[in-house]
Amino acid sequence: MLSLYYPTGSLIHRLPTWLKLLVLAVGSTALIWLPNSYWALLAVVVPLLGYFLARLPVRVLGTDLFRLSWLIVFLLITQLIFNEPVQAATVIARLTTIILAAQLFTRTTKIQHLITTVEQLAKPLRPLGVNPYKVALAVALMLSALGQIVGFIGQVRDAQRARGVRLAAWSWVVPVLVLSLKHADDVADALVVRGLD
Amino acid sequence: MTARDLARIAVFAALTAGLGLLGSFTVVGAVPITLQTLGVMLAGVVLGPWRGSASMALLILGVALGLPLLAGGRGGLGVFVTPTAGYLIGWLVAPIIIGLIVGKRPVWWRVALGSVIGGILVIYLFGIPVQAWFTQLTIGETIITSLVFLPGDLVKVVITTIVTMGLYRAYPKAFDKSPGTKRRRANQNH
Repeated sequence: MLSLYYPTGSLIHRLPTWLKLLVLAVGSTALIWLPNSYWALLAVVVPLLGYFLARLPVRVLGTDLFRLSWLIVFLLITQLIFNEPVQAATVIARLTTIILAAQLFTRTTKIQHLITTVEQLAKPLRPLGVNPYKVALAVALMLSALGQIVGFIGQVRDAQRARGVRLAAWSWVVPVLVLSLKHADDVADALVVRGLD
Repeated sequence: MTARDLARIAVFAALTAGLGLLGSFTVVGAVPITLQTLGVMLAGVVLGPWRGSASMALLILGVALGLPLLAGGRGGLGVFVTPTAGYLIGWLVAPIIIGLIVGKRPVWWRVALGSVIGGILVIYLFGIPVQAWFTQLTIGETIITSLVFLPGDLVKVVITTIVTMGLYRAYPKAFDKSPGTKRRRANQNH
């Protein structure tokens, strides 16, 4: 399993996982109601401060920002076509803040801890035939797959550009699907090896 | 549920989230147009009704946990108190209908039909009443404002159909509903 966890033993690392999840849930909810304004860009400072408090090296922040960069460029272009600049700034600020915050969560929380917490949350559903451990595992797998798939999209688009393929705008979907499904099968094999079936 | 089912459910939830990262455009104020329903349609076609629905449930669980998995990086419990909420409920039902219509092996017209009924009609059936309630419009007015999304939705049906048939050619293994080497070999012999 691909883990982005980066241990430094900071305060943020040691906070209970449920508390970090709560902050993330409340924070992302609050951001939905962020009014359209250039001031919204300041929201990005909050997760950046979090990276600083978590004592994550600049290199790690750099990697995370770089991963976001193509998304920001893409958003900037599409938003400027369809929306007002002020709206574009707010959308991008909201997105960058929320993704960086979620990334900070991933960087500072062991997957094992996330699984345990989700498992606790899913326990009341057990009478309905829900297996809390599998729910939790599925959430963790989804998060690691998301990182992989974002990588696949970039990879396939780069490859097509390099070959000078002028295809439909969505021609990357099939290769990305194939890579993703193969990734799913690899993960399944890894799970079977670890005794889960 | 096998490990393979679990991994595929997780991957389709992630894929649908990933399609949302590619952007969203709010045309008439309330509900953004996204590529995410493409993921909803594909989940039903590729995973079949129940696993498809499970992958959407997983995505929605992630959203509720505050992860930015919806188009435009939206997430958190707040999403469930916006005009979009009903459409998300529709996402849970859509793969069931699509999967049932498409059946075991994809045939292009079944994929298209399933995507229109499941991916458009069913999602609107859940989405429009909730949106109407939140935006204080009548159902009729909401249907009219929702018509702007229809061309985009039809394009997504076309893309789903082409992509599904392409995927079936490139990686038929993807459509094995009950995996196992023996069965796969048996299928190839037909």
